[in-house]
Amino acid sequence: MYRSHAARSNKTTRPRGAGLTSTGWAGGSEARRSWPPAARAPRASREGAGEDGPSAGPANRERDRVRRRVAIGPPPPGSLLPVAKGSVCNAACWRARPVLARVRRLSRLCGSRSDRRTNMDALGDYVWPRATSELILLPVTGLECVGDRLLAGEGPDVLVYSLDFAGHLRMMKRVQSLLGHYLIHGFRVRPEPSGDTDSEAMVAVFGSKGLRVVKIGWGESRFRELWRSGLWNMSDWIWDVRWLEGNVALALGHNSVVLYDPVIGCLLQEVPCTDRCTLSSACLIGDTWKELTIVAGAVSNQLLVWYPAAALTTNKPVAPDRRVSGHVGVIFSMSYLQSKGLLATASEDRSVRLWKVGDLRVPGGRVQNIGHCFGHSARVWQVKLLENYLISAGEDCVCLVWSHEGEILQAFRGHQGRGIRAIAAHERQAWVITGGDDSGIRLWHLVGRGNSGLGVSALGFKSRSRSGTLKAVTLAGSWRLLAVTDTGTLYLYDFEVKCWEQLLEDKHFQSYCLLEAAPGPEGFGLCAMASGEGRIKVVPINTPAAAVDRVLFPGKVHSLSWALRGYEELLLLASGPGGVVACLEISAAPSGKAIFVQERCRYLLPPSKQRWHTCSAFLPPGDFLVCGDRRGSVLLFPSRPGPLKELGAGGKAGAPGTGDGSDGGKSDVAGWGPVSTLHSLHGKQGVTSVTCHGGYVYTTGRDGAYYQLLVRGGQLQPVLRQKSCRGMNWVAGLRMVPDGSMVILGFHANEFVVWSPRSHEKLHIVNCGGGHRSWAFSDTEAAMAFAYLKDGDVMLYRALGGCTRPHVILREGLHGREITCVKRVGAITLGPEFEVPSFMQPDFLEPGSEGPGLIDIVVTCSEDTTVCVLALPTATGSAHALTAVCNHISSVRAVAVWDVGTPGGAQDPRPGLTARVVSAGGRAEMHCFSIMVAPDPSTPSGLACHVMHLSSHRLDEYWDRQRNRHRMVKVDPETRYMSLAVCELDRPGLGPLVAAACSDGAVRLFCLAGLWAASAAPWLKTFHHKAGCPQGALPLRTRPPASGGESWGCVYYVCIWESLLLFPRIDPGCSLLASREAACVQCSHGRQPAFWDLTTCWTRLPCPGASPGAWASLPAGHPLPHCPGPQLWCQQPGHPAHT
Amino acid sequence: MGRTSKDKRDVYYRLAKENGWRARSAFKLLQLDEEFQLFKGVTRAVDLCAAPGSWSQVLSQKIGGQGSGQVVAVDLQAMAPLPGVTQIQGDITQLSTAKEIIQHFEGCPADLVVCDGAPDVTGLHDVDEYMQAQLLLAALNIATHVLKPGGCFVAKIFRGRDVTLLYSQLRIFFSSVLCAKPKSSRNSSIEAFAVCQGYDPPEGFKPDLSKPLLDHSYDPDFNQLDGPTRIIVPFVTCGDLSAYDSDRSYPLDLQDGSEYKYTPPTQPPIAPPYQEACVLKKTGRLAKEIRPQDCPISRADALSQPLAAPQRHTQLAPEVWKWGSEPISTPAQCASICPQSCGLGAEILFPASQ
Repeated sequence: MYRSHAARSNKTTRPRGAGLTSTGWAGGSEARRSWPPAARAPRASREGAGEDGPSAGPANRERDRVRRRVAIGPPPPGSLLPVAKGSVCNAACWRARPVLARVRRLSRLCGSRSDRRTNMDALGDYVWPRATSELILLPVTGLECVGDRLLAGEGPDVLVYSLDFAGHLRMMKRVQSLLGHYLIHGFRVRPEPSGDTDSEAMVAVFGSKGLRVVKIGWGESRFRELWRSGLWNMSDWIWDVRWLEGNVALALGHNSVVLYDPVIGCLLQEVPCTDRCTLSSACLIGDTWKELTIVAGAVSNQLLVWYPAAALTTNKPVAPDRRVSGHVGVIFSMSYLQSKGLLATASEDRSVRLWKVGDLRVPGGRVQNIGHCFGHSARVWQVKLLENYLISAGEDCVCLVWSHEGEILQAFRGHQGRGIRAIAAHERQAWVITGGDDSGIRLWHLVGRGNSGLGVSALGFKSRSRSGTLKAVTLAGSWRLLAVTDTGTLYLYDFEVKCWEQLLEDKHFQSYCLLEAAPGPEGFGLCAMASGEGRIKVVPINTPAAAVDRVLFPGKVHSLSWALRGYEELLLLASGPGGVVACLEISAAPSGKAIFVQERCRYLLPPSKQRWHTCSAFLPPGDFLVCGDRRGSVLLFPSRPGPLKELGAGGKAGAPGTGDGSDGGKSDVAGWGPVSTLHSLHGKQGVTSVTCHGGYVYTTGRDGAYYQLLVRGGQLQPVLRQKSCRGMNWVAGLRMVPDGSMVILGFHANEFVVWSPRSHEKLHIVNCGGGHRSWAFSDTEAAMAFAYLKDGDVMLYRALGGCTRPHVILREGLHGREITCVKRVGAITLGPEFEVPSFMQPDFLEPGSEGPGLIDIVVTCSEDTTVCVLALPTATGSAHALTAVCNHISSVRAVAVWDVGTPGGAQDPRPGLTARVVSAGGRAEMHCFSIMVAPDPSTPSGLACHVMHLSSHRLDEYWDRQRNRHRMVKVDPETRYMSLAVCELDRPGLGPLVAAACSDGAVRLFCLAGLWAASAAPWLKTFHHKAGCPQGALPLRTRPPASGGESWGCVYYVCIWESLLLFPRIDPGCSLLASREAACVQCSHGRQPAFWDLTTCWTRLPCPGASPGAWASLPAGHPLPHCPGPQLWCQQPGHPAHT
Repeated sequence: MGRTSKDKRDVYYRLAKENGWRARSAFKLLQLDEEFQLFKGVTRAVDLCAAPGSWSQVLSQKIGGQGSGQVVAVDLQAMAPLPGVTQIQGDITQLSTAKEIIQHFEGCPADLVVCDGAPDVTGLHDVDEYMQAQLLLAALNIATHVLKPGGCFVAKIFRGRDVTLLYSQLRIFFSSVLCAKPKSSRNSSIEAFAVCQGYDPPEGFKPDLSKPLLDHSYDPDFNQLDGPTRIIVPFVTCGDLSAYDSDRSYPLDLQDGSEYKYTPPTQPPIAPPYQEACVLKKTGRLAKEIRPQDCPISRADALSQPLAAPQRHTQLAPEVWKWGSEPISTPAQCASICPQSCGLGAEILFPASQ
């Protein structure tokens, strides 16, 4: 894998960094790239001890020479880096403040490190190389459309996007560090006399106290920075900037206005207001200094309007012309629309006010509040007035489009985390662009009033000619609808023809009738009906006279479902009494005029109260059927339990209850049992759908979750459970959309919702009244349709363009909240076929960073309850979130990675990475999963990440099982895990030792044994400082607290290390740690570190079901006794920590 | 999450409720006093940005006990009355407020000025730090009017990037400036307290509230300087080591054996900015989105057909930036990147990978 790269890098035409030798790719990726120790797995600390000291030995020096240094930069310019916690810095945790993953690289590393060190004495004034950031992900705090380009300010960097009319959206360039250590808060484009900003534009970029003017151009359809001024520092915060011909006017933090020449950086005039209050926002109006007007939002919640040009001399304060009050909170943003004389203000009081101000440049005008818009559920950060709309966005992550009359026309939801920080609009294209705190940028379409191409229509079933009331509805493809009435009459409605047509009438299907259309784009033109007396009717829609009847059961048919394999095999499954599922094979005559229905076999469901199946699908390639049942179980049946198998021994695979007479003693009704069962996977409310896609089986259920399953060796295996959006407790289905992502269908209270987990957006909402009524959904790439029964009529919701919506994610957001921990997994080198084009200027690239993507894989976790696997390609300076695991119910505070390998083992040259990850956080919850990152050319990053959930553990799980718990007070603390450390043990079949620092002052030790069988992690040992000397463990060095009592606080950090020298082997009989002579846990309680020797505790470890010390006497190679972990806690509710 | 969750997660929150403090911040002042003996010999104290009033409570308890102690609490917002505390609802940037304070002390300057005010944080750290710095400077400005020489000034600061500027500003007015973090202040919070002792304004300094004290501006390289030019302000943690840890979660039955009883908050907020919005939300009167599908149901044949297909976009891979190379985005190449995307906007689906 390296060879192919080296060949390529020789051929590359890109310029190399000056003065650097191309040392090629000696050594493994680990040796070549070192991550800052802060982001390393603890295990790496062993080899990384000499990381920052002088390298020991020539071999290391050589390695250093070829190694590319990646390091966290020096303490922050711009307060962006970790904030030290107390006196003990949590080294494994980036206290990254907003959404920040800042990777810094020492650029221009001249010569080797060892050379530098030897020269240090000679060069007393040696200038150390400065670190530059390679990638920075911050809240997007500035957005501006310049012609058909979009400028986005992210930290001090500017991102340039092209918003092409042909529908192409492209990131063009990242201009790094334009504003030094200031964060960009806005852009102001100089109005050109010709009004043409398409080819080039002068832009003032400002933020905090910094201002810079850049001239940018788009000659030859590519971005060029033509000129930039110096970075001018102001004496105070800049709230707004306005171009006044060649100069700019600045509204400063304490209510003053400055006229500034941005080209030479010269202050021309400064005019303060008589009221020098602190401002929270300001808006400058006017195109010349004479008519310049400032509207200032003071911290006293008032608006002050005053005219800087009224000052007769410089520095003479000007009295405010008008004071406007109304808001009861600080004003965060305002926008003035000159053509209509309107001013909009957004405030802390969660409202937007619209003021009729007329021409503000005329003193003394009347100000009238014409709109007070409450719609946000949190503070409103931004407001923008357009000719016909008012756009506001706030902390609730919603961007609202209002009419000037104060109605909400559209709501754009999808950003994550702490809100939307910036908005921009492209009026000609009717686009709104929002930038979030999650560092995502999205583009939305303004559609105006009631013209979104969506709508619900009643199909007008009720008529004198059609008797009976509707009982069930189904969609055959996306343009035909079938409905059945309580008289057993089947009707067809064609969306194109728009009229009802009676297909057939059958008295057998009176009062109880199930109706299901066959799947497939046009439903194969088939539908099936089932009656209360065990009768099934399969109807070809075009020739209803050719319908075929079968009587399957003596009793009611509980459910019907179809299973389709390509265009080859079509099955109809019908559940009868006693959990018997009849499997019918449907085939058509070549003429298409007749159909044949043949019973293939019968399956038997596991016993339960409501014993019928709910959904079915073929498992590719087609040997098995996956079914879900009403009890929430997922079952795997052989699709052809052929006669050969039947004759063989044990052919009637596990058919318990075959002869129990539940089916009236008919022996031929006996069915095939499932070959694999996941009992009650979706809880008591049942499974709602099964879908097979991309090698996985996806199931959804009414527990509000969807599962990813894998069939391995004929057994179903749960891989990952994902929750749908909050409040959607009835997940009804799942669809793959053409861009490779999936959408979730479900019911949220009484609404039908199509939700995209990728964009966190409700794509479609239909107020249908809930999922209990008869409904049907169908989607194609061209259109989606949702039909339901309401008021005795069929309602139909149609949207062109399928499930997806035209909104665009220009850039994916990362975590919405603080990132609490980052761990590096490893690096993947992709071949040239996977190369992702780069937009970085390669003129300063070092050897090794050009060429095919060397991609770092890191795991991050965040307060937003997700664990994210990130790919950081070195070449492109971008980050791709490969997957987000959202199993945690509370914030995730720490992750640990171990067992990093390649998918195919050491010999396999295929690129890829596997690792196991354990994450822990609030509510004392711990999850363990394995990840596999493998190349996938279909994704933007060229990589796909597969996640398999292995186990989870919660300290207070017992509490959830308590009855009447709402009446009791839970006395034990709400423990949070603060930090994790992992130590791999040299015993096959035994997982690692995990130490967790807990907020209740304890360190808990877990052995993830038996993990691979997906059992829960057994809890091993708690070290609790309160008890003084913890049972079984010897505190090696602890400082006693100053006074007695409750002295030990939260444990912030824990690490395990092994030392062969410090601690002699204490117990030679300790088989578990025999090869690791001693292990230590260090945990720091804010200021005091404590050390524990694990070997001593290990020998005295209480073992469930065995006498204490039993493990120590186990012979080598003996498997670990099975530890049923969570039960430990069940037996000891209340004070687990004190035991 | 029950109502006891917060009591378990934050022991100071719980203790504050049990001891009748209006906010957990009372413990911060108590712990600061433990370390610095702030209240020694103090008879006149001013609490700036007092709401909800927990620091005023501490002041009145500690100083009011010393006989002739007087406490004045100033805030822009309304605050529930407190016994032994004189309240002024006013702006600390106004001279009238300073005069009013002095008036309450019968012309005598104050011995101690404390300010625990912080703006409602926005989450953008540069803005928050700036606003906090301005608040501190405003407090300092009014303190120069009301503080006696040798008096003491305690204010909350955010230890952000420009904090050294604030320190240098404070050092001009006080002989001793310390940065302290009480144990009851959470580790995760960037707040700390500047404890300035020995008020000693520079020669010829005239307090002037009409001009705001601006923060010092950097020499471009000020922050990089080390050695004697850079002021290093000592950082002190305070609060007994045996005090409760604000980040630790404690079980509900604490050591002393007393039985836990849920205590409601001492003083709920008065008229917060979001009050009206909350009332509207509770009564379901927040403006709601008008969705076409919620509009009066139209008959199918009344629906305008065909519906306009929404516009689609493709997202192209970032452009390769090479100096002097030809642009790659010629129409033909665009087509090769995304064959459906040329011309026919309607065909293209949601952000496709190239």
